Formats: sequence, C-alpha cells, structure tokens
Amino acid sequence: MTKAYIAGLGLTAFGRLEGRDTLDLMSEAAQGALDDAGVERGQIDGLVTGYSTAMPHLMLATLFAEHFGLRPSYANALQLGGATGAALVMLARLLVVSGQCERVLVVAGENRLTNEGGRDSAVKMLAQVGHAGYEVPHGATIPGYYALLASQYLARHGATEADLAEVAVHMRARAQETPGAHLTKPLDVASALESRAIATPLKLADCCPISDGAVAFVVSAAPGPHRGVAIAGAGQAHQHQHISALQDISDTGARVASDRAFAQAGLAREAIGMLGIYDSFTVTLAMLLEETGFAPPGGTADALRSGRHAPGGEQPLNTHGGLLSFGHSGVAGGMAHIAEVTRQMQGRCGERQASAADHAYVHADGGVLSAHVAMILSGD
Amino acid sequence: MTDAIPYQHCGACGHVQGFHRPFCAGCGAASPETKASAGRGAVRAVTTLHRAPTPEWQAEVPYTIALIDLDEGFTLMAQIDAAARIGDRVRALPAGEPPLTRFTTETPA
Repeated sequence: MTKAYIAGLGLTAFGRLEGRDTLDLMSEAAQGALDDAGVERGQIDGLVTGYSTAMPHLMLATLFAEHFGLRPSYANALQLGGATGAALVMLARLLVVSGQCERVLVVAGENRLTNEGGRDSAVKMLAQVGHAGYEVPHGATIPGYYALLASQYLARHGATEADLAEVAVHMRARAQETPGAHLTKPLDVASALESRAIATPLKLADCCPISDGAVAFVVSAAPGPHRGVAIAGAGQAHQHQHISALQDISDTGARVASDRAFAQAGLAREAIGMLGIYDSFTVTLAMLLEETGFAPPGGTADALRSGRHAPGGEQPLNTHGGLLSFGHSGVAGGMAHIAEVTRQMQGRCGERQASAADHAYVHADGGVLSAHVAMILSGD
Repeated sequence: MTDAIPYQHCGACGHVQGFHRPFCAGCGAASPETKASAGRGAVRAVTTLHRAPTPEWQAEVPYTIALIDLDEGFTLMAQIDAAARIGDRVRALPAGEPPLTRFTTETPA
C-alpha cells in the first residue's frame, strides 16, 4: 500500500509576533515546509487547513490558496478544536494513500495573542465550546472545564497540585532548549504552585499560554530529503462534546482512539520511543498519557520524576515544550507536537536531540477531552 | 422550596438526559417525557473560578461551579457554595439572580 510521509515541515516562532496576521503566519510556515521538502508551489495538489479564531472565514482553505499562490485539485478546512491539527495530518494521509493527491500541504496558524481583542477575546470565544444553554451561562471558561476534570483527577488518584506542577516544569525545561518557544523563564515546582489561581485546582502554570504562530507540513507518497517518517496509523474517537456529558474521566475516548491507531499501524505500545501528547493544561497531559496507556493511572508525576520521559529517557515527551511552554496558537499548537516528533526522528535537533526513535505516538484532543485523534509515526 | 429542575426520561429505553431534545439521544425514540427532578444529588466535580470569560463575570470572581450528579441519573452544571467538595450531598436552591441553577451543601442530618 502507498505510504504517506511527512516530507517537509515548517514552523514560525511561537509567542508575541506583533504585526503578523493569520495569512502572514500561515505563509511563512507553508514556505518553510515547501523549502524543507524541496518542492515548489506547483507540485502541491492538495491543501488542508483548519480555522483561525483571529480571522474567521467561511473558506479559509481557498482564501489561503489564492493568497499563497496555489491551485490545488483538492482543498478544504476542518474544525475539531485542539484535535484539528492531528486530524488534518490524518486527512492528508488518507488523501495520499487513496491516490486522490500526490502532495498535500497541511497548514495552520494565527495571531491569536496579538489579534485585536487579544487574550480576553480568545478566552471569551474559547469558552463557547461549552454547552450554550447549560454550561456557558454559568460563567465557565476553558480552564474552568479542565479544572472540573482536574478536581476529579486529583480526587480519584489521591494526586496533588504538586504532581500536576511536575508537568508544567517538564514542559518549561524542554522549551528553554527549543528555538522559537514562547515561555522560557525558569520554572520549578515551588514557583508553579505559587502562580496565581485561575480555576482551582489549576493555576497559571497549569495553563498553556495563548500564542501567535503557525506550522505546516508537506505530506506526500514519497519522503523528502530527510529520513522518511511515515504516518503509519491514525485513529479517532468522539464520545461526548460537553463535560456535563462525560461519564467517566478514565474513558474519554483517548484509549479507543489510540487503540485504533495502533491497530492500523500494526504496532504495540512497546514499540514507541517518543511521545507528543496534547497538553493544553497539565491535567490534560496527565489524563491523556494515562488513558492511552503510557503511564499507569495517577502515575504521570512519578513517571516524569523518574526521567522516563526526559530527553534520553525511554519515551521522551513533548521535547519542544508542548503547548504549556512552546506555546498554543490554536490549530498550529497541536501541529507543533507532530513537527517536533518528526524532526527528532529525523535526527535534526542538534544539541537537544532526545532520541533516535523509530516509532512515535502523537495524541491531540479538542473540546474538553471530547474529540480525540491518535497518530503513530514510523521512521524508515 | 426548590424550583423544579426539568429533565427527560425515555419511555422506550429508560435513558435519562439533562440536555433537552425532542428525541432520546440513547435510542432515538421521539418525545421523551419531561419530568421534574427533586433537586438532590452529589458533587461530581468542583472549581472556583478566579478568571472569568467576560467583564460581567469578572466582577463576580471568585465564584464556584460544580457538576452535580442528580439522584434521577443526569448530570448538571450549577453554581455552588465555595466550600463544596467532591462527594458532598447537595440540594438545589430556588432560582435567584442571575437565574442560574444554584445548589447548596446539605446540612448533615
């Protein structure tokens, strides 16, 4: 069967990028991906993108195609919240292996931080993933929804706020080594615990920043100039939309999605040498790592303390610093995990090279652990 | 006194839903029956918000919201006392201002 490779990747810096709009940022990342893959615009026959909260548009895919100078034979935009980026790469794989497209450009980005209205506007808009009639009227926010998960996580496992802080500390340490990361100020458990309350038990250090930034990939049937990294399997699961409808915090759909991805790849979890796990909040990472079977229930903090997920450990995790510290610019935020895992597998991370993994696992969620996309990348 | 909290019960499959629809999300049967909850349940999850989504809510911080598992078998988001903890038994209060469902911890018998 035809394989689908991540043949090229491009990232902008993440953070405060004044004066750049959605199309500027998408263009920079897209050009980076084309250059990385060694292809020209005319060789791209598929274009898939997500959405920009800073530039809402009915037809973002074709808006970008015209702007960037593409005439694809297939284009669309899809929306799956934080899982969009991984869903786009999964779609690109389907387009390539089906023969519909030869080379698909996957691109997303926005100036979510510096857009007019900035952070306040984003916080208000993002809260709308809650139920319009039963949740949003209660003054809930995205951190509030995840705090409701965190309160259950801590109670169920007897875990502490210091345990969650370990996740934030891990991401900050990784981001400090990563060019283009948004948050690089040193962070330890004590200072994470002292950060201001946002939605108990979550504090500022438990929450990802809102960033400007963009990421792009070229997905094709042939590898690019670097080591071939194929999308070996992908799976989704969607069991609820609203937290009020989530019956069991240990069965959000993450496990189901990951099982589907492993079945498609024909691999077992033991084969995985690197992880890129969605970490919009510290508790997001802990719940996903555990439900997908890469840490025992309640065991994320101990796994981090043991060095298992550090660079050079058995399964290095979010070696770019994740959403929590590399940054979160919407759809591109979840794509950065895929970009990082790919360039690590290709051995091009220089001094911060963490592993020479042959197989990596990526997981993203959208909503309130609502939409899950799991993906396995395998090196040639 | 408790203002009734309506929920839906499906006569065909027995499914209970707190989000109202003209059909049962469990089996698809039309016209689930609307019933009134007694307004008693337990705290499933709780958080106190210090950062609000809008300027109007920012004037109210800190405020506390919870997921309540009602005894009739559905889950509802609600306002609640700041001292509420997971597992606490709670009862609904009459609708106040703003008109949102509010629960309070039940005094131990």
